[in-house]
Amino acid sequence: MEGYIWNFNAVLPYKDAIVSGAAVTLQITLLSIVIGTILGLLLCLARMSRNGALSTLALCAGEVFRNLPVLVVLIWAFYALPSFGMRLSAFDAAVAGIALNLAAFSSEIFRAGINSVPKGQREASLALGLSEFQSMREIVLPQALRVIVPPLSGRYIETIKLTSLASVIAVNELVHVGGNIISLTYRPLEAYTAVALVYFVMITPLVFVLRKLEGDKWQTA
Amino acid sequence: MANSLKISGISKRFGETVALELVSLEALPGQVVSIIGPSGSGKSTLLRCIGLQGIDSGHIALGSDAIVTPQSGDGEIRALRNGVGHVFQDFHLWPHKTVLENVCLAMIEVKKMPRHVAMAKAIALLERFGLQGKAGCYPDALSGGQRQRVAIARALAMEPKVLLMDEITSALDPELAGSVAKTVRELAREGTTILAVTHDMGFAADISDRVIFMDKGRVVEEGTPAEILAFPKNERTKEFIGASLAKSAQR
Repeated sequence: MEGYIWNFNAVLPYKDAIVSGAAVTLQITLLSIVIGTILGLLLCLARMSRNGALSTLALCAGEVFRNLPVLVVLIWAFYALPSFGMRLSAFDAAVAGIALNLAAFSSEIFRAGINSVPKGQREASLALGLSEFQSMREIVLPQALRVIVPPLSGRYIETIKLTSLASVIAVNELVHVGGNIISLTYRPLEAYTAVALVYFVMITPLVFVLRKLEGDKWQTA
Repeated sequence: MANSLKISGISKRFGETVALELVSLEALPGQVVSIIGPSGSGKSTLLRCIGLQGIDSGHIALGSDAIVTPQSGDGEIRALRNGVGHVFQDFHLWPHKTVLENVCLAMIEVKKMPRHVAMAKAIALLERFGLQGKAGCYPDALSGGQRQRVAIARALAMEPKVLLMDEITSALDPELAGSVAKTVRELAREGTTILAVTHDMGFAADISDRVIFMDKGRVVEEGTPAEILAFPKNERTKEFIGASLAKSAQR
């Protein structure tokens, strides 16, 4: 493509569409992170529970959503679920697929974090009369966070990038907007470059915030 | 009596391994009972059976407040747990909380005390143990002896009737061990019943009203410190005390 003449003026008129695409990307990201993290914690607690059936169920659910490509889950949730009487909007199917993927990965991150806290810490709190729940909230989880935050923030960054897959089921997020602009302007290089720039502008500050968060965790070992 | 701890014929197995076999002992209010014996004799398991884990036979009674049998559910084990305080060998202080928070937490979370009341009580306890300047420190900034006193203060904050101490002098120099012995005697004078597992014969002699020698999950011999430490009757006890004394003479 030597000699290609770049012309960003062609895509400039669509900047509002790009901004609204970025907004949808952020919405999917935020919802997926909130839902995926809560589900991941629940999945982890189920996995670690003394109830064998519950633990096995959590193990299986985790394996399924860790091992299936997110793209396949999205497509399946959008096209196949309606035949079971569950009709999700494209947006909801995207959030469901991405959140379940995050839940599966984060549950293992939570489990590793909780297991990294010495058993005596929990035992000391139970001995003082704290309930299992209080002991988890006050003693185990805060210490586990040191081990949890770095890999979890990595998954969060990954989650933003995964939202681009939602374009396949026609959610009007950033990549899909890019595609629309191309079909109107026949300027794929400019359109995708613009899309890439917007991703970069969204993700880079987040990386810095998360890195700061890792550094802030209490320092003493 | 209200504060007496009575253990009657308890056994505990882990799979095929018998950790405790028909162990009985009684500690009256304000009494200090030391448990000595070789590693693996079941001393620590015995302490853990008092509120932290179930038992396979016999029963444990704390005054009239709690009685735990092998059939006991979580509620009854909890009732026993609420009457006893554990001081662990490695203290298990919470490293992400300050000394003050370590001492306050259970008063606030379990006893639902207002924060300022719990804090006032914690500060009084810390002062008592010479830790007034350390309230805002994290456990990492403390010496071994200070950590141990925080662990004791944390347990005492819940006003246990019985205090269980697992080898609390093992990390301390002889001078500090001496000051801990003084603290233990004081607590006993105030009416707290104390059960202390120890490898330190001097500490056992200093603090105890009674000494119990355990081996292979059983109580072998029991008596006053003089009877057990100076004039043991049982062959196994003689052997163990002899070895312990020889080892401290070497130092």
